[in-house]
Amino acid sequence: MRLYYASDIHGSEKLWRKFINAATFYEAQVLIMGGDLTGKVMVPLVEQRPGEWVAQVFGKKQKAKGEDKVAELERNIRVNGFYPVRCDQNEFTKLQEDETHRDEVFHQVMRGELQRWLEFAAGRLEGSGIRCFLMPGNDDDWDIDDVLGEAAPPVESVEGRLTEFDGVQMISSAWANPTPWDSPRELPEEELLERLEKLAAELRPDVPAIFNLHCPPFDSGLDVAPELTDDLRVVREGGEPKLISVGSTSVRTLIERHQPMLALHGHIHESRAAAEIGRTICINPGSAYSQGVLDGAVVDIEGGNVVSYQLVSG
Amino acid sequence: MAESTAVQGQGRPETFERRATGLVREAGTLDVLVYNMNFISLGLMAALVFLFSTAFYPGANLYLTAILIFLVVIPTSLVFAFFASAMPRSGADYVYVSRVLHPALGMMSSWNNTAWWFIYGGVPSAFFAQFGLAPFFSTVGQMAGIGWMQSWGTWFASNWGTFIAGTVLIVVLVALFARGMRLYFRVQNTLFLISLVSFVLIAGVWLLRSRTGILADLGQGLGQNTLRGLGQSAAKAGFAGGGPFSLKWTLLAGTWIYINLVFNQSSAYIGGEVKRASRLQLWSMPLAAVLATAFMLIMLALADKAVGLTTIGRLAASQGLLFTQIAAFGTGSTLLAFLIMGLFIFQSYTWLPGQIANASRNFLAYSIDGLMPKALGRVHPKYHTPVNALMLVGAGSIAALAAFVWVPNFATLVGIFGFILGFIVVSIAAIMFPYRLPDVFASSPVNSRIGGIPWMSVVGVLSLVALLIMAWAFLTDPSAGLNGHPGLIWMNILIFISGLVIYFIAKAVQSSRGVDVSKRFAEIPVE
Repeated sequence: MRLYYASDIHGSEKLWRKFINAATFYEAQVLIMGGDLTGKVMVPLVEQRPGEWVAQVFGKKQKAKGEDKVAELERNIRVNGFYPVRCDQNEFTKLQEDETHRDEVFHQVMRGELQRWLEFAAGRLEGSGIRCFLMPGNDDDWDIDDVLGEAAPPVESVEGRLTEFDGVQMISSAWANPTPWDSPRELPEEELLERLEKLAAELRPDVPAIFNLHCPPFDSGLDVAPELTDDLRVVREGGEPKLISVGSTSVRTLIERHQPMLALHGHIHESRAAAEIGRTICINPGSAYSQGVLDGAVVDIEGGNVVSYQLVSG
Repeated sequence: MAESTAVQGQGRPETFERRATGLVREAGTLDVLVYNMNFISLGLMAALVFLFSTAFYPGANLYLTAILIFLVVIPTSLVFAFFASAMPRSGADYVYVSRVLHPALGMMSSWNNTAWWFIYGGVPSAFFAQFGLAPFFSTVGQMAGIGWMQSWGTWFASNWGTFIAGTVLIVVLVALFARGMRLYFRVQNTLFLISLVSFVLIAGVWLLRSRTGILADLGQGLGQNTLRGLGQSAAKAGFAGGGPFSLKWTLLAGTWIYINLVFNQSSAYIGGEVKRASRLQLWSMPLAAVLATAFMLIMLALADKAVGLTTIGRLAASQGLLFTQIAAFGTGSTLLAFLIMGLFIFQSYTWLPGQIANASRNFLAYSIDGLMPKALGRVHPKYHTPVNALMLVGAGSIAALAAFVWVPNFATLVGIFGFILGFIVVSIAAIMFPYRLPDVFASSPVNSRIGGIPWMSVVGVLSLVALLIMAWAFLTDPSAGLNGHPGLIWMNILIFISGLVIYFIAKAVQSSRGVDVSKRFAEIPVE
């Protein structure tokens, strides 16, 4: 069996399409998306005159006249991982001034876009024999879970449960140890370990296991990131960023105790690496979502063992 | 509910961001500029120009040389800057060529750089003794009348002195890098800033003192007979400077500038760690070239005013004197000489750290990509550094140092021809990029066109022409070490194509394990 794993695409429609197409491209039978699906930026397209829209993209003012042009502009915005929102001047002012309204619109847009992604995936993978497993990440808000839950086969949401396929079993978790950003799915280490152990208790001892855990293990080389100050500035020493391990000790303990054949991680975009913890091969393919490049890992499994893996950028 | 914030754009909020974790890119504005300036190495550029360009190039106008080389470097610099903006990934040509042309060509281009980086490890580590320690001890010893210092100077200038000093430097750098780059940069950034004082002192002496005063002190330091018979002894040593203007020799004299200036694009190799790559890379590379060229022009003008470039060339040819030594003797002050020569030691090897870091970084990448054995990708559990790759690069650098010291044909400029071959492949990739990857090009910040032709392709063509001119220059220049040595030219070509051999061997090995390495950088279709 060959599986393809990627994570942290953060709203990039281009990367989502690449992820779904990766199955055919890398000849993989299983696709696994390791979380942090949703975007961080909403770009309003303000209608200034009937049929004339203006948006600010990458600091540049972009105009579109007519439905074809505005649709093209929306496509370009989505490619970059942003959410386009059409509005008039009054709505734009409300978005600027009313935080509650802005959050509501943001969530509505996120859910809508995710729904479109799932429809694309189902249409592309239906009847192909390829299975596609998805889960949210620590950055994804709670209200996308029900959208993921409604995914049509062969797309399947696997967050917080045990899944079995092709003679292996997989547990999946979106949760992370605390970050400086205070994202939606964070837990103190003790609680995180308790949560993960509860999940691992469902594993059957005689079946090879994969841990699909968004957060990488502490001090594994998969979790190296610049240390940040409270106001999110990079700590420097001698002019260089101070790099530290920011992974989870609970994730590491879980891997050390249960020794699955494979552990798949994301979360730390800049820490693209593979490492071994005991008998477990741990992989974090990293993320370069803002560059339109999908970083991933192709893993071949035979007889309950990882026979090869390759980090790829597509 | 997520917390979202309005982001200010031209005086009013234009986009809305929600609070979320994010990729932190490390290198900022100043970091990138300093990184590129370090790779250019102002000290070595000045040392090589005053030592060779002033002495062996008849009819060369060195001011024009500096400007011509700047113009020749800029298109190649723009090729890397455009690529770094369009594909902001660490690895430079490894990524660009792999994605635009073919992974095998990407490996060939990247391996060529890696091989030369660690072969070139021998050159700056030898410079540490030859341009740093030996002149310091000899000059200060001679001016202060201290015998043991002069003896040390002679020993450091000997083959064994050069080899042992260079080996110690390589071992210390590898050990520092193995403990993490931070420790090295903490030390090196401080030493680099302190070493700049050496230039300030030289500039001050050359600017403020009269030519008569400087020559009198030079005569006292070197011996009056040395200056009196300088014309004759220089001619006997092969001095060929002066004479009617020659455009050919003006360009050929620039080989010593080019070997430094063309590395103004080095931040492309850390492209994945650069903040706002689309803007920063575009201006930091050309700016580094502008600053370095301005520095060279100022130093030439000051030297011309203080002593005369012909005198410097004659002293270089007949006595092998560095510009720092000429300046130190010309001060007439042992203290100033001590500071000028002592601080310049930290400028004498500045190519080396970047070469070791980049070569080991590439070995790590090849290992992760399955193109080299896994062992090379081993990262130290505590320091997170590629220890095996570092040790390999260190051993290779020591072997190259021995070759540089004991093999007479292995000259400083021998390998730049190999780098030019690699840059030619990158320039061809730049020409093809808009046509081979139209979607990536269209969504990149460098998608502008002139008369319907992508600027990217235009700078690619200009760079290709510039590189062919410099390839001719290095093959023609009698001081570059390639002219009349077909064996060395073949060595460059063989190293260049050896990356292809490595790629296809790795591909065959990995293929037997079910891994297709050609997919490493292949673009997944979007539609």
